[in-house]
Amino acid sequence: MAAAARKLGVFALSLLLASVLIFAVLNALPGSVAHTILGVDATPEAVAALEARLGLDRPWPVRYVEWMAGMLTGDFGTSPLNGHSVLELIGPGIPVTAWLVGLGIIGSILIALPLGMVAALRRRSWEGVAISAAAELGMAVPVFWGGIILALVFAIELRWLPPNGYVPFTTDAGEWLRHMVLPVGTLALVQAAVLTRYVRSAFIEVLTQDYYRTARALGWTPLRALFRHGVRNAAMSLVTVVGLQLSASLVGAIVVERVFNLHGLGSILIDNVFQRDIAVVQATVMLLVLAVLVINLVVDLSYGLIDPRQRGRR
Amino acid sequence: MRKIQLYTGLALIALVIAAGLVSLVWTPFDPIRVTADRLLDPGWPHLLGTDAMGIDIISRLLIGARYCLIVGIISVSLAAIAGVPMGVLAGLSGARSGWVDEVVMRVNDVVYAFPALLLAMLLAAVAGASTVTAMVAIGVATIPAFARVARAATLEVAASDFVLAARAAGTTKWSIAVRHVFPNIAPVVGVQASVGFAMAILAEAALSYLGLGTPRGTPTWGGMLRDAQDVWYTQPVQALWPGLAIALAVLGFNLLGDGLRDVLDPRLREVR
Amino acid sequence: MSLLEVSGLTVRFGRRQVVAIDDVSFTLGEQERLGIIGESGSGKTVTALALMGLLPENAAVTGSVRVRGQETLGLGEAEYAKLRGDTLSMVFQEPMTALDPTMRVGRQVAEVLLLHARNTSGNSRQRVIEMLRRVGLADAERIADSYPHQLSGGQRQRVCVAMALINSPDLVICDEPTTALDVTVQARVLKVLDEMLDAEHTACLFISHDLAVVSQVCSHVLVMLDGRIVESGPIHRIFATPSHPYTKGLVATAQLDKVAPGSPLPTVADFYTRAGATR
Repeated sequence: MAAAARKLGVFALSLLLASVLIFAVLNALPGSVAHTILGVDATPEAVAALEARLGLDRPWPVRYVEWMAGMLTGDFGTSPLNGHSVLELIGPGIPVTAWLVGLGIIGSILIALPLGMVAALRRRSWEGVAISAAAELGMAVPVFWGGIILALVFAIELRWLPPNGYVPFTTDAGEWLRHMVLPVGTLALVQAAVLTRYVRSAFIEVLTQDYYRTARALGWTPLRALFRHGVRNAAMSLVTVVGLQLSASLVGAIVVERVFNLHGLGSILIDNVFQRDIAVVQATVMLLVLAVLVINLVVDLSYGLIDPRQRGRR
Repeated sequence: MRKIQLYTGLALIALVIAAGLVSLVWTPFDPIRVTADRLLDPGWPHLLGTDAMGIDIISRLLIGARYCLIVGIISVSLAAIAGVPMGVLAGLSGARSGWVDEVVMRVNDVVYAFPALLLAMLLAAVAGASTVTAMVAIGVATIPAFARVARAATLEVAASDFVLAARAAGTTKWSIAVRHVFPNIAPVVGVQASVGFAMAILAEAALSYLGLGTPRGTPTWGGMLRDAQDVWYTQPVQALWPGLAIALAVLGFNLLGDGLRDVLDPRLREVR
Repeated sequence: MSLLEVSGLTVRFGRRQVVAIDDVSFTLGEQERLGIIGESGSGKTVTALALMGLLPENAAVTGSVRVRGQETLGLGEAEYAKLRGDTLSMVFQEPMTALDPTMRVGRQVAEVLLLHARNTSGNSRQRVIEMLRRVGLADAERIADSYPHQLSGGQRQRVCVAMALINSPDLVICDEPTTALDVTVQARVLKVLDEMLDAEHTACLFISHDLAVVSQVCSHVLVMLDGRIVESGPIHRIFATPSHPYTKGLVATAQLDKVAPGSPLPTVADFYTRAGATR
């Protein structure tokens, strides 16, 4: 358990450092909140008055601790621009982004796992080479371009699906699905390109192992031997990759939300970056970084569950 | 036969560089001035047509190559200059004073949790969106990748016999770093630079697309795609060219990275 | 009809068609035990893998391999897979890596049983435990619930023997099965193998570089050198009157107890050097 405790410690420390970093960038760099609200040519008196009203004239450690304490108790602060609670502003975006990322990663695994397996088994014949080449091409496609192309084909030319917008699951499940297909498909396809390469490498690794040869010698066909040993053994390296992919998906989702005009965390974040609403940006970025760090922690902890050799070391 | 990746990559990169260089002295039409010839279909004299502002698309694509290269070069250099010494330091101190290694790598892990896009948003929120904030954000976000690669390579070199011999002969740590470690990790860093360049192009394009990078008006491939999306009902082909340009540039640098890896490390051939 | 008839077996690798084994022919009857001896690179393992149909894709195999009269070269993957583990089976050199590190040992053995099960009746767990006990793993219950990394090399190799023999194959190919083990463990694993082959009426092709080890299991031996068979015969004859100089070297190094005190230890190179090789 010592290892797990250590990992939790590292996680907490990383979270602390990340929060300091976010706070420092947003509060220490030139262009203070008050200036942002009032414009560049505001009088110093007006700036000072606004800073006093917003509590920005107090020393930054005080403000940092206040912000952190608030975040930890679920109080994300209020927007200095419009006085709304930050949580109310970003709350509705969370399910949109969560669905997008969650379904996107599942989709990419469903695409990449079989493709990567075939690419590994048939790496010397045309199927394998074709899959590798397609993955290489796919990795070069920017996610937003992929989204635009899919939308052009399936929404604008064929008119099968809506090109943008979002309908909550609870309002109309069918419409929700129709609106999710393109964004999720975009994210899944682009992520699958990277994932396929990793899956292929991981399975080729398995193919060169002695236990794979043992399985073949005792009667398993290549595909079944790869299923029997590959999925578990490759899982160890793939868990890491899927963790990285999840973080990448969060970023991809921000862009995809913009392409398909979904009001997820990404769209909300960008809108508030443009409006320079520091409180909202601060809270949203912190939330996204928290998600990335939690994913990393889960990946780290899951090694022990997959690999029996790690269990004994706890 | 295996070098086909390397050569294809180099050819694609040469194409992008050529486009960028040509744009410095010549573009078929003015890439910035608005004209009345709005949304022309591909034809003559506008081979790929004009955009909603009546500006020739080829001219904008050529200028876009320049921006893509500038952002790539600056952000990758920034990341390498900061990340490689950090990684070497961590790697060299790893064996003896573990805490330096620990601190450097922990900080890197935290930065690693900030994708370029998030950093760029933070910077844009305080300093406004610009090419510079985009480059800084991409550069800083790429530091950990360089630091990790450099650290791993340093650990390997530091364990080699010739470094042990140099150490036994009384050479100092820093002189070892300069004389043995840097030359020996150069190939790995080269591969990382190539792959990092590809990621920088993708990140820059995404930022420009979102309006968080180079401001509207300046022709960038990402920005062009955003403009193209505004007219996707009437002029769907406009979304093709900038995307294709980004994809080819990224493919070029990815292939160069893969090709270099194959040439430098024959052991990896089977796996990749 | 012999159990295994190999004739003119030739394997070439890669685009340059490098010859790994050249015109290898031999036969093996039911319950017979044949040793193949030779140094590394002599083609022993390639021969074994060719018989199992497990050579990599870039290998070109010609000649004929008949198992109970059935030609196996060119057999489809699915057909061949049915033979493997059931009629033909194999034990490999490296017990440390031959088992999947993520699966409990008992399950790995049970799956071999179930893969070829003709009648699924009966408790597979019970049969696995019994098999593990028969290969000399006294604490079979605990072993079955262990992961490979929790076992010693000798225990793992016994598990591999159990896996190879649990379906009572007609022929088991052992490729240097004890080379990776300590000398004391080696002797015990050989003894178990010997007993198991008798009990299951299984023929054996035993590959080794060590004539002394081969002589503990086999009655006949083939000597391979550079992909060819240079000598073959009953093991006692080979020991008594080796004819090829390379075999003489092997015999001398296998009988170190017969070296006169004070004289230098013999090496194969004292008896045989390849044309063009320098010493």
